[in-house]
Amino acid sequence: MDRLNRIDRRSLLLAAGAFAAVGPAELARAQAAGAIKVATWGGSWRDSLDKLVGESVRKAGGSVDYVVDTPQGNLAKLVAARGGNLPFDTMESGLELVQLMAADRFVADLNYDKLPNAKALPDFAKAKNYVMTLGSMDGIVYNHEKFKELGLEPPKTYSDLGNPRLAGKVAFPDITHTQHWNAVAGLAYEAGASEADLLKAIPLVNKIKPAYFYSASTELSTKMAAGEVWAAPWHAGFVVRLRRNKVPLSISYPSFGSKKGSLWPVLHHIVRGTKNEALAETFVNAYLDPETQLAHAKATGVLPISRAAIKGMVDDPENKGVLMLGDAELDNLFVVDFAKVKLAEWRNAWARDIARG
Amino acid sequence: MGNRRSYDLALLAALLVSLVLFVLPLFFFLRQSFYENLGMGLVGDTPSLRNYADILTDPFYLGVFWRTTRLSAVAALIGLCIAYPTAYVLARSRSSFVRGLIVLLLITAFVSIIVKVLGLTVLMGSQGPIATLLRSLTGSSASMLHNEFAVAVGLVQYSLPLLVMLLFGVIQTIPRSLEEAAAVGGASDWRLMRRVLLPLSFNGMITAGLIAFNMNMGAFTSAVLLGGGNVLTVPVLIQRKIVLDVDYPVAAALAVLLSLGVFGINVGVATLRRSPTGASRMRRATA
Repeated sequence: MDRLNRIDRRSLLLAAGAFAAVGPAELARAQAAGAIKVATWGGSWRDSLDKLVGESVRKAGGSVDYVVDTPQGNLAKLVAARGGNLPFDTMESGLELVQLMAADRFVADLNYDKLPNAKALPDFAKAKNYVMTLGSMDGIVYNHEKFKELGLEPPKTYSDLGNPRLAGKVAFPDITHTQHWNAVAGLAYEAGASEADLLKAIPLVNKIKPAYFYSASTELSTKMAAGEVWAAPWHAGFVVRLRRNKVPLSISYPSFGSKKGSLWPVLHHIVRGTKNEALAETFVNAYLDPETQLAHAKATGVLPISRAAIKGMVDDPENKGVLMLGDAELDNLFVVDFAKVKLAEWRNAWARDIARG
Repeated sequence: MGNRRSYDLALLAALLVSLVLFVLPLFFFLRQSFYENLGMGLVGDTPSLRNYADILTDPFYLGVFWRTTRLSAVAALIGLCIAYPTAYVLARSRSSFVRGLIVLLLITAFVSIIVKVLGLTVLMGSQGPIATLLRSLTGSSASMLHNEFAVAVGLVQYSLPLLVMLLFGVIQTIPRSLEEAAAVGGASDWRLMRRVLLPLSFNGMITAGLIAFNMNMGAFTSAVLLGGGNVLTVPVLIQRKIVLDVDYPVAAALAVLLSLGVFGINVGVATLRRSPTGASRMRRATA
């Protein structure tokens, strides 16, 4: 026993010595290269991002941490930190925030010379202060077994969610959630309007009378898996991810006028004033690498922006049949034109005119 | 005398910390509420009461204030009704087992609100035990979540351990001999409760109820997670104003009005309690 104790103490001393020698050296190496914080979504998205893209930063001798929230929540953090320490160095966002961020100069102009992987991207993906990395394919996610039990056809339009037999089982993306915009734009189109007049969607949302307005996909995943929710405007990625856990989900893509299905482009910015610009560029460039794009897209069920990576998705057994991957289909996807959306008016109406409870 | 002075100094230190951590930020918040929102965290430079006027004349905001107050008051009252008998049993029990129960109660008070609320979502969800039981009895499979009822349950759960602890202390101060004397005099249990226990614990009940009410008025997590976006309360609205609209001045004005409202209700109840007619009326109402 005494010998065992001596060994334990010796091991402990050795371990402490090794830590004392290696720990600070590692720490110093990381500090020399820097440490960046990336603002992104949580759950399996963050995990995949860290595994596939974060590795590039670690290989460069730096470290990467994540600030997990919706893009809107992360923008609020950036605004709150105005003039102080930046809460993160790069961030993912959506088209609804671009104008706001650019107008207030929260995001830096990108130096594409430092992002060689961007060369393979289509021109529309490369903007002055953001680069499109991926896109979620939005539609109506539904539990096909429950629909079969009820004798219901797969939903063709967002308005189909107002079927009385689905009462209490439909969730709807709240205004803080990324998937909100395609869903309300879809309803506006179904009401004979467009994203220029989203107010037309209000009566249809009230007719659907969602049981719950979700603000995080992780939260909705739990409810879908538990059978608490049977249908929701969401994105194809969660069909792919939840099917891995044997949740019987399918997706249907409603029409937006002549367009079918909708894309939500995921944008990446480098935050203005970051002290880790080189490492932030390393991260963004790694994100645009076609192989990384393909691996991340396969893991999360989203659409890579790189056409080379899209080709790799076509034969993927998990994503095939869930995502629309044909060239004609991709060209016919609807994307919200935020130049037409009256954001303040819509936010006000969403708070006041939606029937709740 | 020397001891007294060192105690005073210790209080002074606590006061200073409170001043720095609570009053100063509140002052900046209050100041911001008087300026116009210019968007993205920027505010104007001309002070006015515009934000307050807008809120106080808008039926939407008034409705949200009313909903928050109503839910908080109902949850505090339900909490009192559950906590009082529990606290009485704990306070009057001579069993050493009771000490263990009180420790358990203390532990539950320290459990994170998120954990508590997630427990409730499982319990009240359509796959939970309550819905399963109801389904077997009625055939209906409705979830009990995402409405005002769910939020009220969450608020009761949030404040209940504290209410029991507060009332436990109150009931312990009532001499047991008074109950024995009433029993010897032939008082029924109900009469004993009405004529002895409730009047003697009345002030403690009001204080505990007000503390629970104050906590409920500021509760955010229960309203967000159990309300599921269907129940807009003032704290939820403040969060939306900051995160969605990045409108700090209106968010600040809402927060100031919420604090003033809570303060006003507390002062009102305390004043009513101190006035002889008000106190007797309140006692009669309680009894």
